[in-house]
Amino acid sequence: MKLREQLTALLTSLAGVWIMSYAWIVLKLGSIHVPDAGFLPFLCGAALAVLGVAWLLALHWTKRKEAPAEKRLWHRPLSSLLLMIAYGWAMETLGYISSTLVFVIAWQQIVEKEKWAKTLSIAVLSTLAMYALFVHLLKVPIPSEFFLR
Amino acid sequence: MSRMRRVTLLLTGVSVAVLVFSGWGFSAEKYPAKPIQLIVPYAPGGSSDVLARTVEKAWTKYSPQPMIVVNKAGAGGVLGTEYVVRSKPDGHTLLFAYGSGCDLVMPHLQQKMPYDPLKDVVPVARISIHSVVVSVSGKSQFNTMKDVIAWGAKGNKITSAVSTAAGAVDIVMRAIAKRTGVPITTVPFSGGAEAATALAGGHLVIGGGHPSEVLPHLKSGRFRPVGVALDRRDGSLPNVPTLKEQGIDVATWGSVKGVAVPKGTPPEVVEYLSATLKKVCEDGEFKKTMATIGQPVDYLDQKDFAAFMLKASKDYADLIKELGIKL
Amino acid sequence: MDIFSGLLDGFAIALTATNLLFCLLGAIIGTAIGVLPGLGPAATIALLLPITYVIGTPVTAIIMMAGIFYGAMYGGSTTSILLNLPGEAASVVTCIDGYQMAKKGRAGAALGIAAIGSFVAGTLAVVGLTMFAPPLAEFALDFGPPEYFALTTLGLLLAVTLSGGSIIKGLIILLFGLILAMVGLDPISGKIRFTFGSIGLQGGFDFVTLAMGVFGLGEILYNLESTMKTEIVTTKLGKVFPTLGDWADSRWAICRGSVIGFFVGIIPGGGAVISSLASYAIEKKYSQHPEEFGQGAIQGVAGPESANNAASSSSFIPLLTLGIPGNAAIAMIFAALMIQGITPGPFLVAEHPDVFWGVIASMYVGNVMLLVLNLPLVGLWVQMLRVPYGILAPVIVLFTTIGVYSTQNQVFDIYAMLFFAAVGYLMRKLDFDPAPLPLAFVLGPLVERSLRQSLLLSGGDPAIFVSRPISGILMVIFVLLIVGQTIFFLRRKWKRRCCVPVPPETEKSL
Repeated sequence: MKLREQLTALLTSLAGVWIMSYAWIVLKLGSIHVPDAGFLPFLCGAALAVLGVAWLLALHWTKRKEAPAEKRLWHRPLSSLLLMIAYGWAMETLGYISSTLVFVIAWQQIVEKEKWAKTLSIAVLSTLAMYALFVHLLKVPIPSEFFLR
Repeated sequence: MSRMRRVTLLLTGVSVAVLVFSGWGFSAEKYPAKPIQLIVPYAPGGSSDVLARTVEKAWTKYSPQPMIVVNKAGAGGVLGTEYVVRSKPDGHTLLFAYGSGCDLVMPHLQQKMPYDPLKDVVPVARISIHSVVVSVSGKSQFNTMKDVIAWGAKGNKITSAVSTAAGAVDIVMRAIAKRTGVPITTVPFSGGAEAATALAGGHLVIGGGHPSEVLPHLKSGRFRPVGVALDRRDGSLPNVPTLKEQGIDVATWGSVKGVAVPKGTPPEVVEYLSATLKKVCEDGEFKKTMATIGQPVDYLDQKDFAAFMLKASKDYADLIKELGIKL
Repeated sequence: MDIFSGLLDGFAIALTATNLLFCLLGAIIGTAIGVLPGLGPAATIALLLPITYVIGTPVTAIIMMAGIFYGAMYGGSTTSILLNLPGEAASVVTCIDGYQMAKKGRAGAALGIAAIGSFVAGTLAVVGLTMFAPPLAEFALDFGPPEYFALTTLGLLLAVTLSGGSIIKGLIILLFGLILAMVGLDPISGKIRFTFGSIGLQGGFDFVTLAMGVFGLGEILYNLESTMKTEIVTTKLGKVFPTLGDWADSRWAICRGSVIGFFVGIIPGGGAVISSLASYAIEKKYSQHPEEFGQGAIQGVAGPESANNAASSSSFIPLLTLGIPGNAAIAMIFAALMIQGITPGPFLVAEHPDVFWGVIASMYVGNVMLLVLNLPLVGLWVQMLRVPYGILAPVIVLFTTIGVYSTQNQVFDIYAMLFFAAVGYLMRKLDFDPAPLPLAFVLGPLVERSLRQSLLLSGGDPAIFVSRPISGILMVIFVLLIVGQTIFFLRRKWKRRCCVPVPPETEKSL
């Protein structure tokens, strides 16, 4: 935990420095009387750089007990995030209804490892519900189906 | 369990079929074969959106298929326009508010556009021109733009509310300053409504906006219009003199509101759309609504609109170059 | 026409069968979209606008739209409390204590008190709207750039004090929020910032995508890590409705929230957000047990929820009396009025008294309907927490995805939301409290714009911030708060150092 925090603090400082230089060179600061687009970004960057250092120092000085790490799965958040990205992409290419159906099936299979029967019923029911609610009742304009274009 | 599975599979199949066929029923027979999407590249509630919805309302009288207004706002109109440019050129996806800042002004300021606003779409019809009207607070002593300039020439500081930096209103203000030699400090806000609110509160000397944005304030007397930056008087404000009439040589096209389709749309579809929009523009109820929302009807058909766009774009390019506006 | 007879005529209009029906319809739709994450009142009114053409009289249409708007405020707290998923900026604060209450099995009490508070605040605000609309409208106009600057910096300061845990981390998140808000077009200079050449980023990020991603989806990703079948509620659900004790605890919070919301809501722009923040901060200060805040204090739900409802009602004041739309949803109602051939503004009362008084009267009726509609729903919503997480999680994803898509009909917003989901997840992993992020994101642009506008107006003279009465007073409050906070902090630190051995810094998580 401590190493991870130190890394983040360092990154924060570096990001702050980068923002400062971007604001200085690209956006231009203007003057105190008439600040330009880079004025506030520069201040924010400077503050971030300082805070990152302050955090590092604080980490250096405080000693604390590491809580025993709970066993956690890193692959489930990752796979679900990847699925969601694929879903966003599929929505435009495949169409809303088909991609929603496929997404829920994939989620149940990959993230939850459900049985097929349950997977399919959840997928169909939720897709139908989404269609009824958003398209039928609320008239949200969704991307149309690929094979209907 | 296997029976259960079979039942679910069946259920799935039926539902998919229902979902799929519910959207079916149109083929490539005669145009328009399905509802027409009218893409508004600005947020709901703005003046372009209101105009689109007014057109949509009258459209159903003259066409067998309805229009559906879809707002795709973002990047000052570029995102919505890009969507139309990339969509199928079959006349079922129309670009609305073609001729606004992102088509006429932005290309001359920005290094890159993801499309060519003059070449990648085909103009269909012009519906309206939103001119820039300069207003002062109703409590002020000014009655014309000349009064304001004379006051500024005495060394008083003229502050002006504009909707956004390097937008249509900002360009007008900078042009007035340049042509009259009297400096004007333009204070950009985010959008016309915000700029109008600030002027209504008396926080600035003058302000600019499209007639539809300032109409409630003109009606209530909170604003007094002092000049229109068009080469003729604005149809929605026939009593307000132009800046040129007052000897200030500033006229722009403000923000043009037209309809366009992606490049490659069949000419007969363009013709149909243009002719139907003409009927819409001549509709009595439509004209009445347009008067209440403060937008003039300035119809042009596809050929004239195309020629107009070329000229308007060049006019803006020249003006921006003359004023030296850079981002 | 005086107020009383006007209001009576208004009730005569609002209580006809058709108008009652559409008021109810508006309330139902409003509650529904308030509950559905992402889909907001502005988008819904836009989508349903074509239907209003066929409704007949403009009054009926506007009554329904107004119902959708304030109905959404009732529903908005639901997902904040149950799923840590704020539907709009003004209910971010509700997440802090509301979600903690839900985790402790007190979701019903939180939802119930939110509904009751919303009703009280909504009704009080409509009374205020009836009595004092015109003079208060002038007050809203007095807010120029310097006043906005003072008000929004005050809001930012309140946002910092919200954060639980380490001060350094709170400030980092605040700055991160400010920088995120700078992405895209800078309206003052016309320059494009932090877009790295992406067209999609030019318009900047949308608040809804940020809130859905960081709070809702970030929470899901974090929960998915757990090896056990995740449950939101760790203890049993407990009593569904708020008890008399809950009411006693929160009634003054509701009253204070209503008053703050009513006055701050009149100001176009950040009104509702700042009012909910201010209400939370005041409740925390007033409380006998400030340490309970952040751990599920009922006042932390009752106050802000009342404030944002009062603000939603009072935001009709600038619309009806000046013709100024203060937020996106009101702008849509403004547009609808224009299309119906009615110009909102000072002449509205004289030219269309039926619309003016009819809509106001319908708001009394609508608030009663919403209370009757929402209280029984509380039991139903609480049951939702019993849905297994394996089903609930993907369904939340489906809802947020379509909700975010519907705000601008663009897939880009879905990707942006997923980026924020990753950000939110990492923040959880690193023990950052995300609460200041969305608030900084909303207030940041207002602060920057108003600062630069003020300096343009004054020609670079910072005296403009203190020489005007309203901004001067706000600035004094700002300085007092900072000084007070610093003294308080130093004294606590000093006391701790001399009297108690330094305890190992324990990590506080939200």
